[in-house]
Amino acid sequence: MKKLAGLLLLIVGLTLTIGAGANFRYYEAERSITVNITSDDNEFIDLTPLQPYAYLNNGKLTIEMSPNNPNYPGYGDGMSVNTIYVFEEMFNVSNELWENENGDFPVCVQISIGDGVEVFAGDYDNPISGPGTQLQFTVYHDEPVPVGFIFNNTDKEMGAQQVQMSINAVAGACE
Amino acid sequence: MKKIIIAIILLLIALGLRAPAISVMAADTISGVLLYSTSPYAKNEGNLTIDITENNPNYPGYGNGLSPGSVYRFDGLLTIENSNDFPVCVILESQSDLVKFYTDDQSLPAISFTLDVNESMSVGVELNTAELGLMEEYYSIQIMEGGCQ
Repeated sequence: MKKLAGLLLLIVGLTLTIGAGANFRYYEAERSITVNITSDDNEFIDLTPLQPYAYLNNGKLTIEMSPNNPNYPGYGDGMSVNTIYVFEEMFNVSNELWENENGDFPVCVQISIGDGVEVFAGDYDNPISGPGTQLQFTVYHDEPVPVGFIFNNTDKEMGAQQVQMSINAVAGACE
Repeated sequence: MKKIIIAIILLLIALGLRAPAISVMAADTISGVLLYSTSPYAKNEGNLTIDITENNPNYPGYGNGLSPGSVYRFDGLLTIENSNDFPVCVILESQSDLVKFYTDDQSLPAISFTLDVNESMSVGVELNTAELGLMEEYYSIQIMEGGCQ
C-alpha cells in the first residue's frame, strides 16, 4: 500500500515535470507602445515657424504665401512673377531627442525641396549649407538651426504654385 | 528505506522543476527570455513598455512626442536575450500597420530569429505616425523552444 502511494506520488511528480516542460514549448505575451503625436514645434526633431509665412497646419509645418494662411493680415496676397524673394529664418530646426540627457546626441538633418524653391541653413550671407534644393546640416540640442527660403519666380505662371519639402534626420553628425 | 529513496527522487524532481524559475530577474522575463531596452523611450519597470509621452519617467522636459504623418526609426529599441539553457525561436509580431520591426535595413510587420543559449538580439522599431493625438499600439512576442524552422 505504501509502495503504491509512493508510486502514485512519483507519477504525480512526473506529470508535473511533463506539464512544466510543455509550458516551455510555446509562450506568447503582449506589450504596448504609447506615443504622443504632437505638433512639429514640440516633437523630437522640432520645426518651429519663425515667420508669419510659416504656420502649423494640423501640427504640420506649412509655408504658405496666400490669403489661406491664418496669419494673412489682409494685404500682400503673394509674390509677383519674375521676382526673386529671399526669406531668412523661415523656421528653426532643433534637436529635442531625449538621448541628449546623457551627453551630446547630434542629428544630421537633410532637407530636399521641389523645383523653383531653394533652401539654405543659417544666414543668407554666410550659410552653413546651401542654398540649393538639397542640403544637410548637423543639429545639436539647444542649438537650433534656422532655415531660409529663396523663391525664384522667374518665368512662373500666375496662380497657385505648390512644392513639397521633405525633412530627414539621421542620428549622428553629418559626415 | 524505499520511502527515503522515493522522497529523494521526488525532491530531485521538485528541484528540477524549480531550476528554470531561479533565472527570473528583475527585467521583463517571458519564459526565460529577457525583454529590455537601453533607450530612454522605454520603461523597464514590470512589463517593458515603449512610452513616448510626458508620462515616461525619462521625459527630460523637451520633445514631448512625434509629429504627425512621419516615419521614425529607433535602432535597437528592444533587446531580447535568451537565458534558458536551450535555444529558442522568438517571433515579434505587430498588431498594427503603424508599427514594424527591423534587424537590418528592411522593416517588417513580423520578424523571427533564433537565439542560442545566452545570445541576445537588438531589434529596431519603426513607427508611422498618423494624426495628432495619442497613439496606442500593441505587439506580441512568441517564444518557442528550439530554433526557428
